[in-house]
Amino acid sequence: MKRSEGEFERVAMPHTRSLLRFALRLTHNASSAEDLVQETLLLAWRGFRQFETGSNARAWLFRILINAFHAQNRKARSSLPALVLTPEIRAVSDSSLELLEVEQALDRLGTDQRTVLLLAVVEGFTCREIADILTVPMGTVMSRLSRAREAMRELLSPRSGRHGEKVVR
Amino acid sequence: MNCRDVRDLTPLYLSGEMNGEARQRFAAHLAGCPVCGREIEEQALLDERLAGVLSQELPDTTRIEQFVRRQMPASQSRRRRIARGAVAASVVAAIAGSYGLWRLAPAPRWYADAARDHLAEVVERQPRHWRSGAAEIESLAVQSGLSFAQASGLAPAGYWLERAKICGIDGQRMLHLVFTNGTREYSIYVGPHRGVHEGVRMARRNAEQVAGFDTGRFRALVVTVGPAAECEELAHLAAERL
Repeated sequence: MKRSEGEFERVAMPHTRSLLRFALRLTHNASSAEDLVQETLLLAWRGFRQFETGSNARAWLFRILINAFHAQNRKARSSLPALVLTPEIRAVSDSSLELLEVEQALDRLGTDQRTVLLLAVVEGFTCREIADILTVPMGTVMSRLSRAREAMRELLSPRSGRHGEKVVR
Repeated sequence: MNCRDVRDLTPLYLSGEMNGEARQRFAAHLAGCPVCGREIEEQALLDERLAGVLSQELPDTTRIEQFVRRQMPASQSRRRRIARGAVAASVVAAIAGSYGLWRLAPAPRWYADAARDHLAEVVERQPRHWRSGAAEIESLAVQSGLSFAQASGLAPAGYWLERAKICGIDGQRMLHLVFTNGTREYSIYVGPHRGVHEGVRMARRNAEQVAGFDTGRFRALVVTVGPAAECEELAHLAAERL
């Protein structure tokens, strides 16, 4: 059955903003994030025929985005690493110290922990939904989430200081 | 349930995925264990801080949307496609814009009040004077312009109206209705309209999902502990029937 562009506009396109917000945190690079979201939406459009009406479109789109991100990373492994925004660069354009502090802490998490934390806390997915998005067992999501929260608390606490060098994997 | 169980299950508690009995055992442990209680509180505060800071971002998606629409194969004639594309683009921009702004702006106070009220009165079951039974609930419901039949018809099949009381939400008197299917409970708050017609909008406070709307006749809120999509669906159903 052919699915219409109008239906895709209604089901998928309203999630563009949260996909982009998430992609920015994954890639640390505005143009890579835009490319990733564009690719996600086009992959979703091509596979829209298989999308079951009434199922969780947001979770479906995030799963596509994460798979596309991993596929791009595999391809780009031999090329130069993505530019990471340094505190100095951000400090010029972003006056929010709170945002800066949280970003610095987040960047010290490994990708797996950062991913589950963002999906749960910022995007509001449940552990079951995250397990489906990442195709990992629910127990894995729960333990990654616990470790990510613990690490963030340690990194954000006044004891460890804002510019601590600790790297959490 | 011991401290280790609580530590392992905390992600499910914070995401609202724990069912009635497990949640009660979890809450009972927290009530008697200040260490675990403090731990959960700190984790919830961290979540609130992260969500508050990170969801403020409003990245511009115009370029992406334009690119994707250009790439999507069109079966219509160019003329029709342009006409429809323009309408769709404006609709999507409006939806995405309002949804994004809403998600990223602080939710109004009545959302937070309803979430707090639901947590205290339904999840934690703090003692309150509830009305139950058709006649008692009807006597409260009529004060808000609803009959018992209308109030009990706001929930989907399988749920029934179990109890009701009057609450103060954002300084307004609202009828608090609690529906159950025997294992799970959720709340609907119904109050006087604000003279506007507003569709369902979502917010989240810790584990509580809140969906608010204004039908032009009533202002209402649905509060659940569980997936956001479920809360939204319950709110759409109630909005159709109010």
